[in-house]
Amino acid sequence: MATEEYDLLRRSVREFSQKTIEPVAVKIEQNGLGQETVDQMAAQGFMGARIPSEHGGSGLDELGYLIVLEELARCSPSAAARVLITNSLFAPLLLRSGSAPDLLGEVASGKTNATVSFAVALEGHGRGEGVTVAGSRAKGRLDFVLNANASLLVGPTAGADGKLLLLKGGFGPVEDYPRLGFKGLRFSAVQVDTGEFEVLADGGPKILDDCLGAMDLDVAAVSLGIASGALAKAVDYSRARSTFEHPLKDYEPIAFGLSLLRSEEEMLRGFLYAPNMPAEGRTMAKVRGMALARDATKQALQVHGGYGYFEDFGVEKFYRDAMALSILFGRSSKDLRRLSEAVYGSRAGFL
Amino acid sequence: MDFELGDQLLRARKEAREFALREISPEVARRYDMAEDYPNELRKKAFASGIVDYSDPWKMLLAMEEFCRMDAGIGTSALASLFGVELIMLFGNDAQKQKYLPGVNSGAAIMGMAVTEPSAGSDVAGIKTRAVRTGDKFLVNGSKMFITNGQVADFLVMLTRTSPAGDKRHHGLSILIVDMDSKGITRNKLHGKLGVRATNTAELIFDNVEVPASNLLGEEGKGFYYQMTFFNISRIYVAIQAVGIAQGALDRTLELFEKNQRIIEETEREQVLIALGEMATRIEAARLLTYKAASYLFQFNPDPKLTSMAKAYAAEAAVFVTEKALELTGLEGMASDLERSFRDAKIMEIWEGTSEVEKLIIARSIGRELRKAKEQKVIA
Repeated sequence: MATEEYDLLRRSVREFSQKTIEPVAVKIEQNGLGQETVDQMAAQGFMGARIPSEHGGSGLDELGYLIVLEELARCSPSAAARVLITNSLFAPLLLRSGSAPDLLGEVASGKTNATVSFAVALEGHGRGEGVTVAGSRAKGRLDFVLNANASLLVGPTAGADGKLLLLKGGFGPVEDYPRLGFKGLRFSAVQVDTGEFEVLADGGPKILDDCLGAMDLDVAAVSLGIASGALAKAVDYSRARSTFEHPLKDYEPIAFGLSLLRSEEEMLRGFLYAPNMPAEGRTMAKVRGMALARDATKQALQVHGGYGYFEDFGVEKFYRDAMALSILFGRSSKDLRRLSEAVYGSRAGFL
Repeated sequence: MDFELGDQLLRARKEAREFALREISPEVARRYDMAEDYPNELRKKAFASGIVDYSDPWKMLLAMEEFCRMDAGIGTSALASLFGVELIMLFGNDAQKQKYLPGVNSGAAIMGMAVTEPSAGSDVAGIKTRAVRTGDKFLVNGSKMFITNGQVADFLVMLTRTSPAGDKRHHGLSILIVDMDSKGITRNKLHGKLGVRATNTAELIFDNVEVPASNLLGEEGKGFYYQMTFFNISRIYVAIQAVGIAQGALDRTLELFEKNQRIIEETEREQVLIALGEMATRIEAARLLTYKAASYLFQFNPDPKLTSMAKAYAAEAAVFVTEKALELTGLEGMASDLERSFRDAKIMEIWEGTSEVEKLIIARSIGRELRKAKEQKVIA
């Protein structure tokens, strides 16, 4: 796409996000991401943003997809996460195996909800017996499944060399976890007992690890959207709200603090969308993006004072989601090790 | 100088800890958090157990620390049902003390304090709620925002404007004791807080509410000064809430490390060890500052600078420690009580004076101290 086309895409996603998502953003947090919103996103082509057009998707290129993620996250990180799970995890895993291509069209249409159990590719977890296949049945439990309401699920069987399964039924959420972030999506343990599945590949954990490693820029784009959405709200609020007979924006700590964060936001945006990004730039963008999201949301909440602590103002969700994003999609030591290896040109930071 | 609490207080801490471990289990805390309920039964139980003892401020401080170590929402609700009482103790007359103190001291009554308004938070003198004196009563009109215990309180101490703001905006403010069953009060419970969801928070609207003139606290027009005196007390309790939250987060991090083999491998990493070292250090520093500020206050010699230091530092420590705790424990932490600690911690940087306000107070205090030292020609 040409630069003007990206600009046009950004304007149109932002308009959609502000007109369609923002008015229901608090409801999404309270009641979950509704089918109506999913249908509206699908009608815009977002649900199948990265799915090739021959499979019923929009076939957007990478930069276009990043714009969609960023602009959706600016109003609802949960909505962006649903698109992210579909396009950065589920679709690539299916495409890579060549299985069930017809399902991609259903997912792109928003009619079918799909998710991926990728906790095994994260760090610092060790719960659950996992899923095992015996004969024609798959049984067991998958912990930490985001978007657990889905009717299609790709997940690994137990063990370091487990297989990657596509479950088409016979599973469901059994235990909801406390939800720090992405409250629009269900976050649960999923119980599996089904004959409706197919094996997508061997080496499930490794594939999931590679898949997560390949979505650095996607996660950076969601981070950027979270930071951007929170800062925009804080800038607006500090214009409108007065204290000690002056608008908040007239005070140095507020104006300087928000302006510095806005500078970081623009620098990250410039970097994220720059052509010819070096390979290590992808990890850099992710690591810095997640850090910026956390700093920016914390400051944005603080600027809002007591109001920021309540969901109505729509800023506390960014604070929660920035943290949840770095837990669910960030793998701090793996990411930093990859980055260190790029910096040193050899193994580094592993003792 | 002695940094030990002494046997009696160590026993008090142990009792509070045991009560909190028994009564504020993760399941209980999670239930109240989800339902946004006020834990009145638990509060009564804490009173019945003898842990709530307002005659000994150190005991109360330690109880707050230990309760908030388990859950800041429940801890605050269980122990702060007399939020604002110091205003009556310090500035009330005998009749007011006799009428209002026994109820809250025994736990039979709940009180609250109402200062913040929709358009005035940090800017206390910017409040607009008016109290107009007519004969032997005040007629009160206005609204109050984010009032802790607002919906459950039997009465409130409330900052009002009793005469127009002249050159000095903090003049003309007065504190009234308002019985909450008075005609003309609407209470709206506020839902959807990020954290401390077991605390009750309300918006209050006053429409021609009659308050007897005998409910004026202290002198008319002195309300701002009384209020600032009060904040020098209440900020100590916020500081200790924050210390409790931070300690609880460190406890849970270590528990998760112990429980979980995969994370245990993580604990060998230097990055993790250094983070743990920093968390523990900040908690200890926050605790020491808070105890120091408290010791001045409890000897009737409050130091606003120290109090603000303790409040701002402890609040920031709580935010830092809970963030680190989640970083270190990942999915297991996010699916545990740690996520609640993270949500609870943030309000500590906002209520009873934002971190920014505290730092301004600190800077102005050290400026004043320096000027005073120069005037008196003493070596600072």
